[in-house]
Amino acid sequence: MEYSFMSFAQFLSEYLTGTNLAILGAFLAASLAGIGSAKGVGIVAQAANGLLTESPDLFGKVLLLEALPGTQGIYGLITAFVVMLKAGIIGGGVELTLAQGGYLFIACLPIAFVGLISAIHQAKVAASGVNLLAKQPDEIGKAITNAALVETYAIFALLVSLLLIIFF
Amino acid sequence: MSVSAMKKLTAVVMKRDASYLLRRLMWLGCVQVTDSTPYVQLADSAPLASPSDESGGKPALPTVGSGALPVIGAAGSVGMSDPFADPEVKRLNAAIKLLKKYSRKSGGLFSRRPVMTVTEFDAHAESDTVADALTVADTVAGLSRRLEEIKAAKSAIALEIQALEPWLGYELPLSLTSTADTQLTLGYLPPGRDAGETNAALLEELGECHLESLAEGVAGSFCAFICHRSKADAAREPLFKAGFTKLDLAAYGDTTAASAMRTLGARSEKLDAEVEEIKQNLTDLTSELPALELAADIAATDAGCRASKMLTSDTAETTVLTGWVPAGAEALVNDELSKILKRNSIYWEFADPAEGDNPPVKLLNRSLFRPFESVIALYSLPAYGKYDPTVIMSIFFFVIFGLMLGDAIYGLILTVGGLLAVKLLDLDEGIKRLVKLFAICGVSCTISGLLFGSWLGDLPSAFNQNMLGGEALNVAVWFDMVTDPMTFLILALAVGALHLLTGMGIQMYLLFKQRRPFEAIFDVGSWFVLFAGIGLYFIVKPVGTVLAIAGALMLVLTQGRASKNPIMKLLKGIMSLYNIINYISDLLSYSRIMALGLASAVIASVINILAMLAGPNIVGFILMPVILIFGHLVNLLINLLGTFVHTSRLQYIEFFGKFYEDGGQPFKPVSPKLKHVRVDGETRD
Repeated sequence: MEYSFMSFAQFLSEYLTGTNLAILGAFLAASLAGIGSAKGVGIVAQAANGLLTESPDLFGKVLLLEALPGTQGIYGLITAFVVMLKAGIIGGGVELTLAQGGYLFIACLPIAFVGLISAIHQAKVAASGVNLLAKQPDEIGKAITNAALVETYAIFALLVSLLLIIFF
Repeated sequence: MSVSAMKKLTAVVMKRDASYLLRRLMWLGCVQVTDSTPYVQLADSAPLASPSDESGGKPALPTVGSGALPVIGAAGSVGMSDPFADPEVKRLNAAIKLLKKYSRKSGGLFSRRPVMTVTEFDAHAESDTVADALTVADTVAGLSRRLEEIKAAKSAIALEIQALEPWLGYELPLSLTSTADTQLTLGYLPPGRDAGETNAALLEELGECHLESLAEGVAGSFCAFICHRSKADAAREPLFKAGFTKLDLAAYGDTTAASAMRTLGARSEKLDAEVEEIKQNLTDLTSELPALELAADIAATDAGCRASKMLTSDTAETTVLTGWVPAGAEALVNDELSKILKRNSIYWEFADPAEGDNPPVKLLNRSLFRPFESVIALYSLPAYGKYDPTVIMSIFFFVIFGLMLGDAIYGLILTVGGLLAVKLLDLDEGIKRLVKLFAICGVSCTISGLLFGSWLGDLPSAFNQNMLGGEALNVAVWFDMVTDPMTFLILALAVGALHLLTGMGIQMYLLFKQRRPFEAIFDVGSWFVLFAGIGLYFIVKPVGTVLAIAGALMLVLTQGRASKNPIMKLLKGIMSLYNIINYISDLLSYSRIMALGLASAVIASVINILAMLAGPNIVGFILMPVILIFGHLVNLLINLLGTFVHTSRLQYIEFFGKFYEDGGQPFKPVSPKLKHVRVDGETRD
């Protein structure tokens, strides 16, 4: 009887390809940043519902605050798409070496990690902004600006990720 | 351009004319009423001269000269109640909201508010419009309350019918509990308990009894239990053990379940008929909607006037009104008050703000720049008498906004859509300003879309490649932002550097204006020299080096000048060089222009790829426009928010941080509170 278990070396040589590493990077960028945004929007939305029970007419303003921590997920998505383009998953016609795949993998990490953490922290600021709105509905500008300060670092991470990938 | 100068208006009228005066000022819309209690207190301590004769032109009050005018408290410090929270206004608005649900003529996006003249509006305000409308509103409220009651009653009936349903097959009166020889109990067995088996067990234990299952439900089986009177007590325990729960249906009286249900059904139908009637009534009442809306505006406007009147103060015979008037509107107010003087006695004077006054802030700008004032208002208005940066900020806002959302078609959508919205829709003033702002910035987006070759992202190129089988196109007039991101980054930082230097320039100008030339030259000028040197270093190396060292030396030598100790002087001077880190981080912050510009371009190209995945065939050509329209609209909306927020941020933190003196209270004149009608600006005489 012949067993068809592959050796570890065989496993590596078959599955640890450049393309798969790039996919892993795209996965991390889209999912970590996405998780951060999902959690973030959730945090703000919870605070928002509390306010809306009192003053439903503030929905428009609150929606702006809710949308803010959502951008990290979009940044992760963009990064994932650009990697898919470069790795030939969309469009095809590219064969990546292991080193190239590793490069793309690492290029995804800035937005993946910073996206995850910054979305949650931004959400906390935005949620306290919702509390500010409860008392002073006209101060929406300050609430948004405060939350936008946190986003700066997600933007920088996106910049680094995108530049790394575009110059690949 | 600038913060409007304010004049302090003091007007004295006879008590009975106070409301009339306020109403006239309200239609002018350029007087912010302030608390005049301090004035009256002063007047009490120094009694006014006897009332001047009314025929003799403008009367004068000799004892209270402008120099003796008391300080008017901080603008807006007296809490103004919200006119829309007035109980009458709330009643009217509640009725309007309700009736709108029954109105066949839906409000519609393009509906416009009715327009009337001031004379017409005031005539309505003096007639019974509000009282009549309140009667209608109360009728509407009564009807809607009745609808709620009926709704509650109907759900109670539905519950009862549901409870009676299992007993439909039971033909004895529901209240019957005993006959001459038997006792009858209604109830239910828990789910899983078989009625037949329980009956057999009871029969064996007691004899002379019967348990009949009438219906099976989720709650168990509904049963009637009958036994001889003598067994009634003995039956209790085995029934309890079997899980039998007694139900008391005696409240239905001497009727069978079927007839009780018929009665309930009839009652429910009667209620349905009443609901129809009420709905018809409400639909008929929708013809009163215009009258209600007019009344709501009148009531809110009156409430606003009353709130302002609370701020005026009375002496024995007169009412004193103090307030702020923008200098530009002084003549207008003067004319209006002169008109009033023809019929009523009134004294007034204008004065400049005194030391310690806190006048409200109104910005004066050309109409093109006025939408940008809302960006400043979101942060905080400049303090009274300080520099208004609207124009310079507008220019940078325009440029940076365009770079962040650089797409020719997106720009056209913003500009054309915005202009159409302003023209066709009846928008509130605040929203209108924002839409105008986007319309103006759309031009900038279009320009940078042309320069950097973005037409719905890379649509021309993608279409040519995927659908026509051609080559990639480069439609950029200058360079392609996506393929050449480094050039775009340098451009973004260059715009940032210009922005920062402009901010420092304004700081220097303001310092000179305040006659603080040393601070202007040492604190700002030194940095200019240093930056000029760093800049020149890349062009003419030796000159640059010398300038940079000169700038650094200026800083080292001057920044410690506040300390007396020479060692501290030197140390503080050297430490000040560390501030270069702040300038660098400010500058790098502008890389977000490139990141956000790239993000919108890349999302756009992803949408294009998705739209053309099906390839050049019929399915592809049908799918493409659908995905393109939906995708690009979503992309535009997402990026519009991000672009607005981050363009504003660059102004607030990087730019305003250099020079801005904020803290102005917004100018809030007494004005009509109109939500449902428009009033054209002519006043009556």
